[in-house]
Amino acid sequence: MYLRKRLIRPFLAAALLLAAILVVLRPWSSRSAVHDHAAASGSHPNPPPTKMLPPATNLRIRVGTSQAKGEALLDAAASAWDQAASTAIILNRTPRLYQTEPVQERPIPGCQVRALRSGGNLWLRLQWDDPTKNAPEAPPARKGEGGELLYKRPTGETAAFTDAAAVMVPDTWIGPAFPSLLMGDKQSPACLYHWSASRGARVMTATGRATPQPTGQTIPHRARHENGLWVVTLALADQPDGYPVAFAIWDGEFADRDGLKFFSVWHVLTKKDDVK
Amino acid sequence: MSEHQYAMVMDLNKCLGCQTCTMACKKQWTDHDGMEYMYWNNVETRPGKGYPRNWDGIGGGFDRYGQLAPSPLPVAEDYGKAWEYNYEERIFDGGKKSVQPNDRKLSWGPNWDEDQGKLNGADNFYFYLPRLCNHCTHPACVEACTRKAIYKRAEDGIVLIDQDRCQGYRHCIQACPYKKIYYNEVLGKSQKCIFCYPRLEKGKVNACAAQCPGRLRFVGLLDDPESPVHKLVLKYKVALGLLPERGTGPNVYYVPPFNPPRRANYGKGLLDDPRIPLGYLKYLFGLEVIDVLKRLETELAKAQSGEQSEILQLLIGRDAEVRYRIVDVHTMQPFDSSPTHLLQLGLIKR
Repeated sequence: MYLRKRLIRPFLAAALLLAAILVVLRPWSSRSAVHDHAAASGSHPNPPPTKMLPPATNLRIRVGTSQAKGEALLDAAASAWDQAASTAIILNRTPRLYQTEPVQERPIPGCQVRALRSGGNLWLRLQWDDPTKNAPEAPPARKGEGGELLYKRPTGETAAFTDAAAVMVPDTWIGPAFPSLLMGDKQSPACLYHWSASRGARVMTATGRATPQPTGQTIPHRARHENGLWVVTLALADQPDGYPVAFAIWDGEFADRDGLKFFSVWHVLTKKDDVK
Repeated sequence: MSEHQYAMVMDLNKCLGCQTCTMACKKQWTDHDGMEYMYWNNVETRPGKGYPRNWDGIGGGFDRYGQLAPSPLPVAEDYGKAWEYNYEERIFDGGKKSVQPNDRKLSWGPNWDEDQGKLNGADNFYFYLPRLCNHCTHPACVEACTRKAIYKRAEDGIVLIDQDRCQGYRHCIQACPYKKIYYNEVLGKSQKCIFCYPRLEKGKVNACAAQCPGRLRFVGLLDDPESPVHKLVLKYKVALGLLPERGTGPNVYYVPPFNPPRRANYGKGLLDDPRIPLGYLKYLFGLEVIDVLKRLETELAKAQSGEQSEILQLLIGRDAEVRYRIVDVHTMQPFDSSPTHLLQLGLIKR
């Protein structure tokens, strides 16, 4: 009896060891089988892209051509705009600046952009949802009582913020990578066309976050707020097809300014007829 | 941290609430378009709501974890919109109404609750609190400015707003726990007290201090052992910053007010039955205020017994030379007032 136990024990131990090895190895063998199968059949679980595309080239702004006189295109209701294709821009919200600030739950506004080339300019018609018009301006100056200039100007709303929109294009761009979406970078500066409901449209250049500098230039523009919509037309310097363009909007009602805004990723300007 | 730090000490026991400093500042710096409602220097009655209304209750500065804790933005009504009076109607047109503001809906303005104070039992108490930008050691406004438009000068610690870089985002106003930055809606820029740096650079003291009839302001470099502010803040330790728990390290200091004890307590110590509740002083100046008051009481007793008190002598500050020490921050020597130097500075003509 004792002898039989001594003979069986090594066999049992060897059998248990073998079983354990099989259990451990089984997943590896099954995984490699799947992999081998994929390799043999020519398919791949995550096939690499067949063609390297620059980011977001599928996001296109279709640019039409118009014979309309430039100034006429400032009228958002001009019939020429009916010929321009409308692109829905998907906007994103920037995060809050400080962790100590409350989180604002706000709907993302819908935004539509149309683009036309005319007279050497790129004309843009931006339209976005904004139920409230915010265009604070300092009250007009007044002459003081008794003709003395002791009193200049009534105080307006020092805590009010303006609705605004911006179009960003590369200032100098050598491609193929797009400039930084954070207002360009040192290699690829950005040109910003910033419209404010209070102060009109001006041109700025930037080489990254917190660097926009006004150039002192203004651009032709017109803005209208109706039925909960802002419609703004802007005349930019013409941009070639294939160039990237991005958009941002600010809602003054919620103290949007600076980096507190809705923004789009880069879109690509494409001749209207080239888009299938 | 700056190489040197200009600071101001104000002895609240000497403030008359006359607003001469306020008007000196107004005429010197904020007499321009869009600045009508601004008072870079104001004097408010405490306890009171102040200017802008409830500035001390809405937040700002850093929280206990060192995170910026911006407050809501005060609205124009909290500052008090600039208004005018019916002088023309009353004086020129023969109107019978007394002189009144044209805007009848006014509900607040700078110094609106002047001399109201509060009751401590049956005793009324109040004191005046002159306020300006604190040119903080850790300015919340500098940290909040995403444009990097606000900077602290390395040579003297004065905090300034670069008007070319500022885009009027007003993060700084929300971050400042003292609400001493203002928005100019005409220019679309934020503006604030500049500690009269153009005057200091010519050896002249700040306009608010120069005009103060109560002689309660002391000005100098905090790190200059010869300066009165160094002595009052660091040597004698009788001056404290406002709302120290906001974490910005203010560089405008106050000698706390010590009214006499309440009625029927003549002869008692300042802290035995104080007219100004100590809790209120602790709220404004921190827990250290008790030690400061004890120190001042000891000095008072010393003076009353005929001994010499260096601290009280300094606080009397009869002469400008005692109250101010304006030095060239590069040499740490008082400014050269020779005609040649003044000529170079353009202060006199050949």
